[in-house]
Amino acid sequence: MGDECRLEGCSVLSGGSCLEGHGEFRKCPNFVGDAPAVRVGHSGSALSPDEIKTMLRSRRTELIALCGDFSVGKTTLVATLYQQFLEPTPKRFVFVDSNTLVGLEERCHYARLACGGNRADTKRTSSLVQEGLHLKLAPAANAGLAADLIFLDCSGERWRRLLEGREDGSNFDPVFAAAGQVVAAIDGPACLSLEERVTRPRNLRSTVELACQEGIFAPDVEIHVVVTKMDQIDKGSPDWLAFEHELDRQLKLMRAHGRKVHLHHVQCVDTLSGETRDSMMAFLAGVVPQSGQEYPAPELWQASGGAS
Amino acid sequence: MTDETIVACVGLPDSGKTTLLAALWDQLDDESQAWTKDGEPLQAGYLRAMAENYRKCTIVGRNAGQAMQVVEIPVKSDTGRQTLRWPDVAGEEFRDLWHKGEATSELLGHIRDARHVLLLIRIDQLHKPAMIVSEFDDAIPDSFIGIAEKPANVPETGSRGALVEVASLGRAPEAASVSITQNRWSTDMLPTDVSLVLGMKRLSELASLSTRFTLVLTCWDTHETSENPEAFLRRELPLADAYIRGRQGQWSVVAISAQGGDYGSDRERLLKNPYDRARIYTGKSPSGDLTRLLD
Repeated sequence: MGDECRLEGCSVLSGGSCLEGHGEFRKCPNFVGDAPAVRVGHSGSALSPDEIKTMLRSRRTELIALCGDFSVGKTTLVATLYQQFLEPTPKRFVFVDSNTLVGLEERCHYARLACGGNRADTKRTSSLVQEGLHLKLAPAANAGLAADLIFLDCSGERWRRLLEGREDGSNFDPVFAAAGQVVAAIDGPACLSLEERVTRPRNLRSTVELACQEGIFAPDVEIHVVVTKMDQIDKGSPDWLAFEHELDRQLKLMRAHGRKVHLHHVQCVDTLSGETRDSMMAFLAGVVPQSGQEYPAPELWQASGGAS
Repeated sequence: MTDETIVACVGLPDSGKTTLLAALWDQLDDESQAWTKDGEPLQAGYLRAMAENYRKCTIVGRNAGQAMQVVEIPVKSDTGRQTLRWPDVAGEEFRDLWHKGEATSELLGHIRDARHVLLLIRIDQLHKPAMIVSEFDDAIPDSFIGIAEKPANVPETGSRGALVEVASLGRAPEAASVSITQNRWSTDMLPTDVSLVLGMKRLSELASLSTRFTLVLTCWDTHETSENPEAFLRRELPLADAYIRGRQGQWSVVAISAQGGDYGSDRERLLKNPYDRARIYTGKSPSGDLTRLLD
């Protein structure tokens, strides 16, 4: 209450224009009023670890940690997943909500920029930042089974430092340990060379094992190994078959250690192609909870003290 | 005694809020409409001036330098009498709420008090998302906006080159309009679909649980097919469509043409029929009674 213009003859408060010509009349020095702006809700940008914890406490949420070396396409994977819901083709899952639309759009923008140069290369996740991107999705066949997913991202450099012993597990935010699933991404085309086809799958397994040993991930976390950039792969080539053989070996070793491991193949460019859409929906089918039970309403979770 | 129904009309600048109010003001004089005036409001002078511009086919624009006008119109219908409070919110104020999550306490108060919120979006100015594609080729349908190779006459905007968006809606890619988007991202670059969902979320967070929301697709006369508003939304704004489908009962969709046509090419027809210009479309059947929005 109490808006006032001190300039004699100015009718801005009764429907006229600001005599001083200010388009935003509240910026006119003659205007006296309430505090001009009040912060409302969340900005829509990526969630900080504390914001993720608040959300985990307030409602049942599936936290999915992204893990993998730099440039393998972790963030592009999430950006492409989100982008599927910006085009109208019917899909296996439908968009319900997101608290991080601004963050998702920002990441998509850099992926689109990179694609202009024919390279899928999303904005680098800062080496210090650990942040979450939220999507609430439901199976198209049953919207009542909507699930809140948060993809927890940190830079590939950080995982590389962990692998090389230059980063302590305690430097990772404890929220990583709340993840029920880990997406361990590996760059398919980069693994075709003789130099990389053994090293990269081994490094991926070592990184996941180290993260579990150091308590970054919970010991019983479910692991989704995701081979990215499949649009650049000739699946009949000897190089690909040799890589697949090595990857299979590493997955068997992980399973031998009692890990629950799944394998996915995705492509993150040519958003409109059926292959991209199918690979994304198949990936989603693997990570969206399949409990068959509807999620309790958020109020119920709050009343019972929150979910862990 | 009258019940007070507060209708908040919100939307980005130039979404048609003031044109709708001007058209509605004239229609409330027509006894054949669902809702009619039940007395003169205090702001009658402001409304008459606005309606005069509307009848003369002059752009009914709200000056960004004007303070928020809260219009209160007593109205009646077969179901009873009400006072319609219509805060004519400046689009600039709503843009801050929409994109930055910042609002004046006055605007917040009007949204919190509203029993019915009309969210206006113009369908002839949709900013479509660029898709993540590796290359632009003939396989990409006309109905999407993609990324083309940079034309030779377009300068680089940075070391990584420019993003070239091709608005190919209904046109061959080579004939499409080309615009360059800056490398650095900002909220001004949000596609309309995403921006709209952000706006809907903000409104839902602010309003009470019993508040009804209507997404009003404006400038429907620019859309030449007989498609219904729901089908248009599903095709052109799929994220908003999905958001609304998840909240049926709280959100609904209508389309309107408050202006009735183009002030240039349709001017004579519009001037001749000042009271029969506006249309509201729910489902497939159009109606000339804009006051149905107040039901």
